[in-house]
Amino acid sequence: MLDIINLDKTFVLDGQESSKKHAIDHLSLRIEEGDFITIIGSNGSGKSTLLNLIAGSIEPDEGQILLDNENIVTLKNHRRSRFIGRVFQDPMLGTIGDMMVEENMFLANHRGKNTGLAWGLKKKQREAFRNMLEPLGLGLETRLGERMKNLSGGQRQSITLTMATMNSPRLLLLDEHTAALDPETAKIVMQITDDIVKKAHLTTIMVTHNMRDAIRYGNRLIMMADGKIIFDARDEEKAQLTVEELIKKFSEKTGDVLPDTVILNK
Amino acid sequence: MKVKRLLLAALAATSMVAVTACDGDVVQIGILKFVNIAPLNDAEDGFVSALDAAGVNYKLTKKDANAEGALVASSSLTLVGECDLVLGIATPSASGLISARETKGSDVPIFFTAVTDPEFSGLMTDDQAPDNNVTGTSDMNPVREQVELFTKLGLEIDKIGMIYCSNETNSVIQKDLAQAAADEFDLDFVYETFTETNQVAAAMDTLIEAGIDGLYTPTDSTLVSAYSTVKAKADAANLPIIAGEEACLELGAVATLSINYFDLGRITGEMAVEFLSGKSISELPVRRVEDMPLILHVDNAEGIGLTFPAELLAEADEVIDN
Amino acid sequence: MRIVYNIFTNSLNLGLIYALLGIGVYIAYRVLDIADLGAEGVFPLGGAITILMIVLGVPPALAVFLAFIAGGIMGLLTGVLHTKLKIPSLLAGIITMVICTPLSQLLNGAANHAINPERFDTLGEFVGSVSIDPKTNTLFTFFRGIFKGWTIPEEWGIIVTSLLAVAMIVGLLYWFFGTELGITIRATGKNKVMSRAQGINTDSRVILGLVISNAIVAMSGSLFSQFMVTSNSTFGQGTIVIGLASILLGEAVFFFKKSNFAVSLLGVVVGTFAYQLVINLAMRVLEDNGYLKLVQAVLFILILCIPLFKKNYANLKKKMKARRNANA
Repeated sequence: MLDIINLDKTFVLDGQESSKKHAIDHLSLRIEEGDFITIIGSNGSGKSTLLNLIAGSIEPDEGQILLDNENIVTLKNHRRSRFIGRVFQDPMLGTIGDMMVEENMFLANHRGKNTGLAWGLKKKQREAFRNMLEPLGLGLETRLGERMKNLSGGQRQSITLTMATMNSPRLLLLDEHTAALDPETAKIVMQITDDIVKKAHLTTIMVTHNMRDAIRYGNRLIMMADGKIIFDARDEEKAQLTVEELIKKFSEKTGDVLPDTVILNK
Repeated sequence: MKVKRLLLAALAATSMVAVTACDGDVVQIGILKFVNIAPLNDAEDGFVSALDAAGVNYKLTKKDANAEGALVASSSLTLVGECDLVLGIATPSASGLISARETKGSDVPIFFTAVTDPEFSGLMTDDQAPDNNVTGTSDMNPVREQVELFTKLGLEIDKIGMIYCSNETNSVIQKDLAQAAADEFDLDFVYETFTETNQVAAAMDTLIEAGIDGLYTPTDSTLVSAYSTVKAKADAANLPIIAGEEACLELGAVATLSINYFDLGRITGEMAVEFLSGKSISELPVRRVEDMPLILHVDNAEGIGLTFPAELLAEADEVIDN
Repeated sequence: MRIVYNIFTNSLNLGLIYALLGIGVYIAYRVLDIADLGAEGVFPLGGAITILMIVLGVPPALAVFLAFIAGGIMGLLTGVLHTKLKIPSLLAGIITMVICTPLSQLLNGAANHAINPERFDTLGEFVGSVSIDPKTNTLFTFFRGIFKGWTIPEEWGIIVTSLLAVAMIVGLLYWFFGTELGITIRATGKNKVMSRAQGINTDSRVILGLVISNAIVAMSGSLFSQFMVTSNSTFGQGTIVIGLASILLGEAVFFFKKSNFAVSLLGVVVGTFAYQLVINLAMRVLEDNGYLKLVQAVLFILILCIPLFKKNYANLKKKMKARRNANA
C-alpha cells in the first residue's frame, strides 16, 4: 500500500558543506494495508526524518514514495495531510491552544474538503464531535466549548488522535506521541491509540522510544540506525521478542550500544 | 479599576483649568501650528507680537500637530469648539480647522498664515474676496524674481534644477511658477521630487547628472531638514543655490529674495486685530509681505568660486560677509 | 461643561472613525499574527481615492466602497510579496506603504485638476494634499442633515454615520470569521504548522486575511478624509501606533483575550475611543504637544504592564489566603 523506494536524504548543518548528516540512507520499505508498524532506534537514527518525508514536511534528495502506486513525493504537505493523519510528540503542536475544542475538531473534520462560506460549526457537527469524544472515556464530550490550552497533555493528545483519525486517513503517523506524558497518562493514551487503530483498521506507523510498547503494540517492528533499517520483525517473530533481545540485536547490527535513555525507558 | 481612576482624575483637573479660563472680556485665541520648525515658529511669534502691540486682552491656547494628521484632527476639534478666533499655521492646520469648524457647527473665524496659495489648497475660492469666514496671509515667495537672480550672477547658466518634497503642496505650486519663470528667462528647467529625506541624495545626483548649472530650492520644510545633503552635493558640483527663503542662506544658499516669517505672522496678527475691532472677514482679503529684501551670502558664494557682480551687490538690501 | 462635552464628543467622533483602523490592524496583528506596516500607506490611499471620487461626483457611499476595494488590492500585494516571494512580512508591508505614497499623490493631483482644470494643471503631478469645500456632499451629509433638522449639533450626524459603518463591519466580520473560511484563517494565524497539517492552504489564507485587513484600514482612511474634507498623503503617519495602542488599551481594560471573537472586535472599538479620550485629556492638560509623545509612551508601558499587575495581585491574594488557612 505504501512503497518507499531507495529514499535518501542528507542534511547540511549550518550551511557548512563539511558538516553533513546522512539522515536517510537509501532506505526501502514496503508497508501493507492494515500494518501497524512500530519503529525504534537511537536518537539520530532517522526515525522522525522518515516520518517527515512520508508526511511531506521535507523533500528527499532521491527516491520515491508510492502510495497505492502513486508517487507522492512531489505533493505538498498540506495536500498530503488530506489523507495522512499525524500526531506529534508535543501536545501543543497537534492542536491550536487558543481555539476551542470544537473549533479544532472542525479543522480536522474539514480536512480535504472544499472551504466555502458556510457556517463552520453547525449543530449536527457538534453532535458528531460529542459522539467521537465519548468513547475515549475522559469526559471530554462536555468540554467542546473550552480552549484547548485548558486541557492536560494527555487530554490534548487524545483529542489530537481523534482528530488525526477522524476522516479515515489512509495512513496514520505517530511520532513518539506519548513521550511527553507521564507514565499513567501515557498508558491511557496508548490504549486509546490501540483501540482506534484496531477499530478502523488503520495503516499506522508509530515511532517510539519505549521498547516495551514497540513490542506490545502493532504487528510489525522495525529498528533503525544511521538512516537504515537494520531489523524488521513481524507477527509471530515480533510477538516473541523481548527487550533484552532487541538490545542485543542492536549491538550486533551496529557495533554500537544503545544509549541508556532508550534502555531505561521501559 | 486603575484606568478609570486615572481618567476621572484627569477629567477633574481639566474641569478646574476650564473654570479658571472662563472670563467674558478675554478673547480666547487658538493657534494650531502644523510642525515645530523655524519659519512657522517665527510666524507664530509675529502674530502674537501684533496682538500685544494692539493691547488685545487675549488668552492663548497653542497646539502643535507634530506633522501628524491625527493630531491635526483632534487639535482642530478642540480649538474650534472653544475659541473666539483661531489661527492655522501652514496649510494642513488651516484645512483641519476649516473642516473641524464645519463639524462642530461653529462660526469661529479662521485665520491662516504660511500658506502659499490658499486657492490652490482649497481653503477659499477667491483670496481677494473671502466668503467663507476664512482669511490670512500667503507666504508665496517671489519665485519669478528669485529665478531671475540666476541671470544676474554673472555665470553661464543655461539649465537650472529644482528639488522639493512632493508631500508639500506649496512646493508643487512653486515648481509651476519656477517653470514659468525659467521659460521667461530662457533657461532650461528640470526638477526632481522626493517623499522622504533619505531620498534627497539620490534626487540630487539625478539633477547633477542632468547637467544643471544652478539649483533652486523652494520654501519646503522637509527640504530644509535635509539641506545639508543638498548643500554637500551642490558644493561637490560647484553649483550656486538660489533659495526660496532666508533660513536657507545660513544653510548654504548664495542668494534669495526673502520673506520674513515673523513679518508675515505680524501682518496676520494685524488682520486679526482689525477683525476684533469690528471689520468683517469679507473685508479682509489675503495679504502678502510687501518687503522682500534681496540678500546675498558672500561666504557661500566664495565657497563655490563665485564673486558677485558689482551691480548685484549694489542692488542688495543685505550682504552677509563674515 | 462645554469642555467636558467637547472632550467626550471629539473622542467619540475620531474614535469611531479610527475604530475601523483599529479593527483592520487587529486582523493583521492579532488574528494573522503579522506585523503589517502597509496600513500607514493604505490609510491615506483610501482617503485619496475617496476625495478624487467625490470631486468627480461619485456618490460618497460608492467612493467609500472603491476605497475599500483599493485597500484590498494593496493587501493582496502585501500578501503575495510575503507568501509567494517569501519577503519577510515587515518588508512586504513597507514596500506596499512606499508604493501607496506616490499613488496617493497622483490621485491628489488628479483631484486638484478636476476641481479647476484651467487653473490647476496638475493631472499626472504628485500633489501632497488637496482640500475640498467642507459643505461638499460626503457620507456624513445624510445624518448631519437629519440632526440639523432636529436642532442637534451636526457632529452627532458624523458620530452616528461612523457608528453604523463600524457596526456593519463588525457584524460582517463576526459572521465571516465563523464560517469555514473564517475559521481556517484564524487557525492559520494561530498555528501555521498545525493548519497545514489539516490540509489548509495557509498561503491563500494569509493573503485573504491581509486583503480584508487593508480594505478595512482604507475604509477608515476614507472616512477620515471625508471628515477632514482633505486628502493628505502624510495622514498615514502614526496610524499604526494609534491602531496598536487602541488594541492594547481595549485588551487591558476589558481583558478580552479570553473571550470570543465578537467581544474582541467590540473591545478594539472601545479601546479606540478610550485612546482618543486619553489623548484628548492629555492635550488639554499639557502645555506643549511635544510632551504628548511622552504621554503615549508612558501609556503604552502602563497598558503592557497591566497583565503583570494582575498576576502579582492574584498571587498576593493567594499567599494571603494560604497564610490564613495555615493560621486557622
